[in-house]
Formats: sequence, structure tokens, C-alpha cells
Amino acid sequence: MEVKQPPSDRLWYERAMKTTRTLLPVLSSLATSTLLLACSGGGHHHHHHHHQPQSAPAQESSAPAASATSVAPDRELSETVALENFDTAVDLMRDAGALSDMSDADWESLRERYRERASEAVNTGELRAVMSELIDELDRSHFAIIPRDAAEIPDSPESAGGTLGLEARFHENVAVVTRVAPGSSAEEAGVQPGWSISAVDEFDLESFANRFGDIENASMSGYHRNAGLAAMLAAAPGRETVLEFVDLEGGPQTRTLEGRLDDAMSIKFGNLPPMTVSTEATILDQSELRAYGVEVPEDFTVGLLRFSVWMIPIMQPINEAIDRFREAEVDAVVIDLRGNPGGVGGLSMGVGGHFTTEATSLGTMFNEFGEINFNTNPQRLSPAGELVEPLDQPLVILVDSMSASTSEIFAGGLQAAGRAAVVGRRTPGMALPAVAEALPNGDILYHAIAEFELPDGSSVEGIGITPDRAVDLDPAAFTDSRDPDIGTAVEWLARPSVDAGE
Amino acid sequence: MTKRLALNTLLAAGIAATLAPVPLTAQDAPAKPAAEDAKLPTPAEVVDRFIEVTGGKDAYLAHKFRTTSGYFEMPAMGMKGPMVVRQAAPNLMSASIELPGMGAMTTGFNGTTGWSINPMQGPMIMEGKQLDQMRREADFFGSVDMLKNFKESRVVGVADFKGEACHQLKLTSEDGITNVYFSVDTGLMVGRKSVEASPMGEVASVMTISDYKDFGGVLTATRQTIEAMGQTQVMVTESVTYDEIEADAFALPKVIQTLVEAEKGSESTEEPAKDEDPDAAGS
Repeated sequence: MEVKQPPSDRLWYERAMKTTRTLLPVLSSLATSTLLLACSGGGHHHHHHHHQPQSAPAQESSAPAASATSVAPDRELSETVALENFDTAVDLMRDAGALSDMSDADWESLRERYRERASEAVNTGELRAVMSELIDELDRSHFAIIPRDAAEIPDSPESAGGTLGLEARFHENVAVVTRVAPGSSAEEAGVQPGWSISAVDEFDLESFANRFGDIENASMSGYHRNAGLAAMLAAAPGRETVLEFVDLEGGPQTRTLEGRLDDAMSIKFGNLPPMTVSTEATILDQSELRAYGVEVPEDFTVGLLRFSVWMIPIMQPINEAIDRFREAEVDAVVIDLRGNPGGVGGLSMGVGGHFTTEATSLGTMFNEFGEINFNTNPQRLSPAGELVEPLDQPLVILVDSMSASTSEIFAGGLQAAGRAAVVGRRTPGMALPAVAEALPNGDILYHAIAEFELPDGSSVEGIGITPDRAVDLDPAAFTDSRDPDIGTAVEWLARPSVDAGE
Repeated sequence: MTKRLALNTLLAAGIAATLAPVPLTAQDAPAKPAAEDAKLPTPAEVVDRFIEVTGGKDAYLAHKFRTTSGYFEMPAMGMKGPMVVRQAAPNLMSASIELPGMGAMTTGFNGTTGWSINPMQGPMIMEGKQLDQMRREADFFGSVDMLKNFKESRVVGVADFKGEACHQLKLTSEDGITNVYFSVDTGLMVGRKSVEASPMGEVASVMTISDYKDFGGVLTATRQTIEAMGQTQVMVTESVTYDEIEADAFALPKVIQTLVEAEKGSESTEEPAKDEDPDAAGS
């Protein structure tokens, strides 16, 4: 297998692999053979590009030597071990019964086409590449081979990753800064939302973007491309990264930013790689809302809630935030799910219960064995244990091309129920319930176990959630607002006789 | 019977997949016709034999409390954690499962109210079929007098359950049908197929029951493997003790109590409506 990668490509890839924490949300959520994890061979049919640096850490680990099978001198991996892993993976995906358009015969045909190449894999990296190619052929989210190293908890803070304090998304083929975290090195360096990033450590972002070809941002490929961008913007604490920007006036700007540990916590959920969890809640008043470019009545306040991933540690802070919003009698609530890749699906029912007075369906997961309805559980108790009513204020959910999985279920479900309006950009359409199962060699097979449809019977997978109010991410939109999505949401919420979800 | 406890807990919890609740599965029990001339035992005979081979009625009746400890596992997700089930005669139960990254999921029945609390969905009070199933589950002597909790029972034939010839006992209640499989050879209960009710709908589940061990004179299954929605969950019992359990262990948690009182309050305020003249509605 011949794969030649430019050095700069390898640089960001290796960094991405080392800054595991940054990768995790990507993993938890997304699932397909990700740009970052799946080591599929270059040059095959996919329009989205997979990277296979020969020295990537993921490839350095070979299968456990425990196997008694003899290994030919020219290979690190015996045929027996290779096939054991390959066949187990195909069996698991087939037996889960998730994909209604795949018969057992289809799975066997797929197996047949890749099995010989799997048997010839001389090391774990090659085996992963073959399996990832098979998975890519499914063209569905929530299928991936996760190298076992990535699923382990980093052993030191240095390897645990950090942040430069800025987020960015591709708008067409331009990487636009969408958020600068307060107190981050990006903020201290004066980086502004709306600037575009032209290079990271001399790695040209436009050529990176172009390698994906002409793709929709709101797609799995778009997700992968943005996930690659996020990995480039991760940085180990103390490590310096040189970024070249174009500012809002079109002028070049160069900044050297230092990676810092953020206050997010890292958690482990089953076989999934560790994930970074953070929750922020704030009540925005008139003066703060002006920074978003909107004028609201004097007493108008908005509760803004943002969390990085749907994992258990978000629940307590969310319960407390909702209570604060209730006490403060905010006029409206905005939940920011931009960049939230998903997580534990069950949480959508608990969080949704803060905004629904009756059990409300967010949709149904189903496979050949049965179905489960995602019904909200109306939350009638405050954190102090007092009886309260769920919030009935107008609700806007912000989404973008990196809001996947549980985020799509939550936004699409409450949108369909008429309880929330969705603002932002179309989501990637990656919403399949999935599990992360260990293969014999310790790698993790992440695979769907069911399909999911919204209450109206429409599918999310491959389609995504379409916002009620679409916001273009053009850098020009940032001239009047440091966050055009929040601006649009609040403008709409503050209009006379607002009716959420209309 | 602690078998369905974790099942209920999970259903209530909506745990399951990483990205989605993965309640338990299940396909319908393949209904196999009874052998034409086989002299099938009666339901009572099947149950009595089970009680006999697992220690006898007196051994069951000798205890009023039971604490079952072990662990719960979802192998596909690499998740495993401790499980404790406390039971007291005649019908008190509380159970908890604690999973890393998830926290504690608890469920219980205090003789009247069935409830569950899990970190994903918060506190819930059971109703309808789920409450009926919970009430049956909490019946301390439910094994000894298994048939009394069902309105109809029938041994439908000899069926194969996971390779073992079994008497298939079909139990019908208001909330549905449960098929229980007793080994023809040993008389032990080896499996059950049922449809479990939950706030997220009904989910078919197949439970394989095995590895019987003696605890205080009662042979108890120490391994229960549940298949539901194509996923597998395992409950393993490591110890069973029969020491007295404080009543507090079965008291409603405060949050549940608050919800119960609120429900009672709203019921009593709704009552007067019944006396209103229906014609007056909308006027």
C-alpha cells in the first residue's frame, strides 16, 4: 500500500492523535471511519480523504503478541489474528440488525470482497485500513474502527490535550473562526470571531479543504473535514502553534498561541475513548445582548446554555442552570449545541423534560428486534427537591454542521414537537444509536445498532436537521455581531408575540 | 425473583447504547406446538417441581428478607458495575446498579408505588403495565406461588430453549404474556421470554437463566443473560444473604415522595370536575 503524505499533513495528524481529548467528541459522536482514526489507504474511491501517515501512533501498535499463532518473519500480524478480527467485526455489524437495507447476504458479499485483503494485512495498521474501507462502503454514520490506544485514558496532563481557545468551521472552503473562548490565549492575542484561518503551523488550510473536493458542510464528509480542522486547533498544554489569519478588514494577521488546559473534565464511558465534558450557562441582559448585534426591550433576558457533549456530568449543571433561568424568569432560552457531537441518547429525554410538561416523543430508534421511543420525562423537581414546572419560555436550539447524533435527536425532536425553533446551519445527518465493542485485538468497533427516525417518521441519517432560521457563516456576518447565530436567535425571540417552534 | 429487576431498571433508565438508550430486546418466543400425546405436566406441577429441586417450599418460606449482590454488565459497551437488590416480604424491593461514567440507577417498590431514578432521565413514577410488572416482581414469594400473579397459565408443550428441552409455561396477565422455560431434565427454570413495559414503550426480551448455586438452602440462578434490541446484558449474583433489612431501605426517596404527593394533590383537585354537569363544559 503506497501512501505518501506531505510532512505538514503528518504533523497535524500526529498532533491530533496525541491530543486525544480533542478527538474524543469526534469519536463519541460520529463514528464513521473518521478522518482522524480510520487508517484507510489513500487514493481509493472516497471523496473525503483519509490520512494514513506511516508513522502515526495508531499504527505503531500491533496486535497483542499473545496469540500462539506463528507469524511469518515478514509480517507483524498473523493471518489467523487478522481474520479473527475482521470476521468478528463483520459478524457484530451484521448481527446488530441495525441497517434495514442490508440483508445477511449483503453482509456476506461485503465480507467476501475484503476478506482476502484483510488476511494479507502485515500489521494492525493495514488491517484497520482494510476494515475502514469496508466500513466506508456502508456510507453510514456511527461505524468506525477505533485504535485501542485511542480508547485508553491518557496517562499525563501533557498528553491529555489542551485548547488554543478558538473554534472554527469551514464556510465553503474557508475556515472561519466562530468562537473565541474567554480567558484563552486566542482571546488574549486579540483573535476575533469572523477572522478566517489561512494556515496552521504553515499547513495551508485551503489546500486541506480542497482535498475533500466539492462537499456540503452539512454532511458526513463535511463533519470529517471540520473534525480535521478541530484536531489542528488542538494543542498540548504549553505547546505553541502559529496561526495565520485574515481579519475582518481583509488584512493578514499572524498569532502564536499557546495550548492551555481548559477546565473541562475528562470522562470515560465504556469502550469509548475519553471525552471532554464542559457546561456553561449564563443569563444575558440587554447590554450583553447588544454585543450580539441585537436590540431588545430593557427588561428582556435570555438564558443561554451550552454543553460540549451529551454525557452524564452535564446533567447536574444543566439542572442548576434551568433552575436559575426559572428563578430569574428569563424571557427565553437558547441552547447552544453547535459543535456538540452527541453522546448518551438517553440524556435527550431528561434534558427535553425541562422544556415539556407532558411526555413528548423526540423520535424512535428501531432495528429488526424492536423499537424504543425517546420520550421526554417532564422534570418537575428543582435541584433542591422542590416541586416546579418545566420551563415554558420560548426555546431556540442552535446547531451547525458539527451538531451530530444526540444533538440532532434533541433538536429535531423538539422542533418536530413544535416546542423549539432551530437556528444555525443544517446538521450533518449522523444519528444512529451505536455501541463500542472490543475486538479480539483490543481495537474498538464502533457500530450502529439501530436506525432512528423523528416523530413525523422522517429520517435524520444522511439528511440532518434543517434550521427554521438559517444563518450563513460568511465572515461578513461577524461585522455586526460576535455571534450571528445568537444574534438571529435573540432577534427572533424578542420580536413581538413570539411563538416558539412556529 | 430478582431476574427482571435489572431489566426494569434498565428499561426505566433507558441505558443502552452509547448514543442511545438501548433497552432490551426480544423476539417473540417461537410458539412450538405441544407434542400430541406427550403427557404434559400441569402448570402447578411444573412450578412445584421447580420449587422442589431448588430447595423446597419450606426453604423459600424460611426467609423474609433477601439481599442479592453481584454485578451488572453490558459486554458490548465495556460497562460493568456493582448491583444490589434488597427484598422483603411481602412485597418490598429496592435495587441499584452503578456503572462507571453513568452513576447509580435505582428502582423500587414500597407496596404501592413503583419508581425509578436514573441520571439520564431523572426520577419517574411507574404506572400502567410497568407498575403491574413491578408489583409482580416485588412479590417476595412470587416464585413459590408463581401462578397466582397471572390470570391464566398453561403448559403449551415441550420446547427447545437454547438447546435444552423445556416445558414451556405460558403465563398470561393483564399486561401481557410471559413464557417461562423449565428444563425437562432438571426441572430448573432456564429461560423466559417476555415483553417489558417502560416509559419508552414495550421491548421484547429473552432471558437465559443459569449457574444455580445454593444460598441458605435455596438454589439460586447466579447468571442471567438478557437479550433485547439485539444487545446483551448480564447480571451475575455473587452472594445472597437473608439478614433483616431496615425498613428505611424501602422507603420512597424524597424526590419520589414529592412527586407522589404532587400527583395526589392534582388528583384531589381534579376530582370535583367529575360532579360537574357535562353539558356545562365549554359554555
